[in-house]
Amino acid sequence: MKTFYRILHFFILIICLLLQIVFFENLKSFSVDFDLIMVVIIAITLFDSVFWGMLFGFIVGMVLDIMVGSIVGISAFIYSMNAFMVDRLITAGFRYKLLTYSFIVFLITEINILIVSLIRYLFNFDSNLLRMGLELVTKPVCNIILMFIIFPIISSGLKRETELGFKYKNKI
Amino acid sequence: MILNRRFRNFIVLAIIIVLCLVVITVSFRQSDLINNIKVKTVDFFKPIQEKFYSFFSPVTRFINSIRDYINLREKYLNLQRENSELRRRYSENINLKVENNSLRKLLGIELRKDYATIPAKVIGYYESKWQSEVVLNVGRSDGVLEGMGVIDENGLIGVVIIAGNDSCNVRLINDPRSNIGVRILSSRKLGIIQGSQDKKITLNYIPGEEPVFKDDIIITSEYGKLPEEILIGRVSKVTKNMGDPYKAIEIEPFVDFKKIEYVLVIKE
Repeated sequence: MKTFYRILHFFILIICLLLQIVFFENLKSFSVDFDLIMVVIIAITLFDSVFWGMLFGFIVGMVLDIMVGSIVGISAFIYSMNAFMVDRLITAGFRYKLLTYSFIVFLITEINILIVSLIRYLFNFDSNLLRMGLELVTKPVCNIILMFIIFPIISSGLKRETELGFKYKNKI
Repeated sequence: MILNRRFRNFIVLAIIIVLCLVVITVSFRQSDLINNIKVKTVDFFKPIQEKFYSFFSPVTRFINSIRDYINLREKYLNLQRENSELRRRYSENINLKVENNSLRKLLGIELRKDYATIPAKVIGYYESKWQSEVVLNVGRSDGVLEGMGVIDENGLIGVVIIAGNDSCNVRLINDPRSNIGVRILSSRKLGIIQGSQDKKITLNYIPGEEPVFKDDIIITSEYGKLPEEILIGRVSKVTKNMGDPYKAIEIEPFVDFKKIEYVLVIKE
């Protein structure tokens, strides 16, 4: 059953990747900027495991970079690190609560923006501080809104697994 | 068991970081391997991407129409002004065209040829601070090659940077890495337009003493891979900074990059 959910989650992630390219990029007017893939990676890490979060993050990040990225490898690195950071936060004592999820999405979005800007700056690209500041304010809000849609989808199957007793079938 | 798992996660992360660093380095060296993988991946996702794009295009159009609605009044006034100006110029140009053609014939100079184009549909859009690209549904099998220009009825959109078999990636002219040789139509002065992180297009290398006026039309120059005299945009702002030998000129493109759906790839 777990394998089925992992395949399903990967499939969802690939759909989200295409959605990000064909649809969410068009919403970038009025400083509305969603990172659908990041939110799904966080959800997979929280509800599946950090291993799969990192692995899926790496694969999907690499595909995104190859399809439309300017530097191949940056998104793969960022999404894998995201999964690892979420795991560190949970290990540090964060509870599985809605407020925690929101905080994690907020924090990871801010870290992503700063890391990407830093990497780009180090690789001799110029950095626009005003735009980055605006992004630091608006992007987390957009991603938290997205979280309310994505998290129930990713966690739904796992909850049902507990309800139906699959999780404890060996003990029964 | 838990320790083992943690250890495993650290090892996986370490492997991923090393892999990413290797790939980033290879990517920076502009390796053929990365380009080939890019071409294959773009081709692989093309059919499903096309379906997704068609499915979501009504929503995208709706969102764009909201954006348009907000600027409607201002746009209407600008169009009215532009229309009256164009009417005046139209009659002037017809006479000039007839005169020009007859003079060319007299002197034995060839008439300007129209360039061959390949019609294409936009199936993907990607915008971030550091890049602006669109994906088209035509590729090498249709005759599209890297470096070809892409236009629509309003003017220049960008240049093909990756050509797959059935699809291609186009770098838009507002991409920070975009550099295109241009001319100011009225003064015939040469310059280079560049995109920027905030998606503003600037015209560079125009000397400070050179007169440049708001609403001057910018076209492609003959010195480059693109055909000459393709419309790009109009001058929206001209400033002169102290100590800078060049003018800071902002260009407003004729093309609305958010709304491009059908385009033409110039086959030259």
